[in-house]
Amino acid sequence: MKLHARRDGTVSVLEINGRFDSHTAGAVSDWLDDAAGIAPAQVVINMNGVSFVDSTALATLVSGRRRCQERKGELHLCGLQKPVYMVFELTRLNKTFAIFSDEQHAIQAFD
Amino acid sequence: MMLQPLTAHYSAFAALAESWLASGARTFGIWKGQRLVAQWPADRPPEPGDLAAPLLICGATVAELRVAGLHSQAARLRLQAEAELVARLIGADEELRGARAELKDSQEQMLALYELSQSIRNHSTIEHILRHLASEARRYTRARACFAVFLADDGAPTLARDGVPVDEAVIWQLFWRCRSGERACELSATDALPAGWTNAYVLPIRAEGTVVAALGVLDTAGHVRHADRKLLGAMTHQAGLRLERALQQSQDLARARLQSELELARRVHQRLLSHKPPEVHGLDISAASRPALDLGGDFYDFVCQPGRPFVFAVGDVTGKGLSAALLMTMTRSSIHSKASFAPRPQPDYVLRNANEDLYGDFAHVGMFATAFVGQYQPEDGQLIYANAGHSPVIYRPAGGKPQLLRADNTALGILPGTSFVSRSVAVRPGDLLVVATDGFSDARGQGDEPFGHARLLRLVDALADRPAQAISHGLFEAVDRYGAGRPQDDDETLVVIKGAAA
Repeated sequence: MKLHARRDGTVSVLEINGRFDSHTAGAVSDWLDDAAGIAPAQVVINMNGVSFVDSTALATLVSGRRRCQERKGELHLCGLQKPVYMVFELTRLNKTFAIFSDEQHAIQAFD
Repeated sequence: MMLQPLTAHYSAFAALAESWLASGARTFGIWKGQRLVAQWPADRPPEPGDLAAPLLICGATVAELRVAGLHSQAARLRLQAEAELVARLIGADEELRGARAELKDSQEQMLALYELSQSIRNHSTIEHILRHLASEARRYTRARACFAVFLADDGAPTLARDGVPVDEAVIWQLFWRCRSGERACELSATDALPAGWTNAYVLPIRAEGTVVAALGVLDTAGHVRHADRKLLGAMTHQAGLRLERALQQSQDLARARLQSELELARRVHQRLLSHKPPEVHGLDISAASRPALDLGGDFYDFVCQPGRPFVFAVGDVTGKGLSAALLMTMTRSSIHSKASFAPRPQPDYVLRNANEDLYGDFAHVGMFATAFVGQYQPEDGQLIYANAGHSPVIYRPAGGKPQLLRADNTALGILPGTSFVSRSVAVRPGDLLVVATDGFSDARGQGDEPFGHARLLRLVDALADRPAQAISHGLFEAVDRYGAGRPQDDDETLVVIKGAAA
């Protein structure tokens, strides 16, 4: 898994590539901790390069989203590939997260 | 030098005196300054004498030999020669005595060390080691007080005192001073030594290279001798080795205790998951669970009580190992009690209430649990279910195509106060429901490729005609084959429910 972090205005963006699972979720969780701490806690996770997610990855996103919301911010997801989106659908997390087609939309949604 | 060597050689002096008296001397005496020590013949009054020669031992005049009644140059030279000879004799004797004393000292040291190592060997606790060290150190140095102190990694102190009780504040002051310098230090009353003490000698005790403890010797008579320092150094070295071993043992003990706790947890876990499926008229049921580690977050459960509907549950707490297992038991028992005691244990009701129970704790630790709860209605052969984020769940009607049943509800612990919905599927003869956990769909093959839903659906389709138990075996076998010896990544749990011929 590879991570690329950047800032776009007030939004913290993390691009994840590769498998996002219990072995790699720790690094994402650490980044989310930091990002949620930067006001106004607006975070976008670009999952365009993610080939696989497991339940630990989902838990990481859920708790990251919760941390953002606690600070009056929000976490947006974007670029979910079909097999990954299916996991969100199967577990109904597609109803919990704000999911966007691409990064631009995910960022704009904060305006 | 005191008078002691002179009196020790009394007979030699007496012989000398006799020879001088025979040569015509009036008296022969030994003087120390203006004081007469001895004089021959004894019945004459003290007489300072006419000739004098000093007894020079190690460069210092310890006494003078004096002769009265003779004045010749020959007598003067003779007295000088004899004084030199006697002084050399006494000096040699003193050296011998010193050597003997040193030998005795080192014998005592060896003995003390031997006793310490013997006694310490019988003591395995840190407190015992320290207590012994303090008492042995005091016995040997004859100090007014001794202490030995140890500071554990977690800051817990162990303290042993011997002799006059030393105030704890004084002990810590000396300990930190010694620890920060990492070497033995000697303090006198002028070196900011706490009131009431005249001198202190504190030595560091090392275990695995770091100073973890110290030995303090307070108020010895005069300075701590070089030999004593050497011995105390050897004692603290010994004690350090022993402390090292004691620490190791307590770590081993803690590890063993943890191991047995884990073993117990594993047994409880297995007990919870080795439920034989109940006999339910109209259903053929099989269930199995295989954690990736000793303990896992997957679970299944059956509630089957006379006069109440049959309810089953399958769940998966995110993560694995002990933390997941702890939350698993919470989730399982929350669902179990709702299903057992609610007047109408509808699956949506059970899950909504379990979510209310668990939300706070799960949110707090940043985890969640997926759960599938089903309730069998024998009167119309329907299975009512509610699915909180659980996947994969596969339903295959008799002779039909297998399909994934998507969750209608979010997993437990994600959202507070959500409403849940129930749905139903038929479980008439030949209808098949497979509720698995993601350990199956996510199982990795050699090329890292997950087993996936499509493969799982095809497999269920191929196995569908077999009894529930055989379907379960077939699924585990297929996943094992796919993994090709790769260690299991995640917990794998399976409940297979099939409509049985009435």
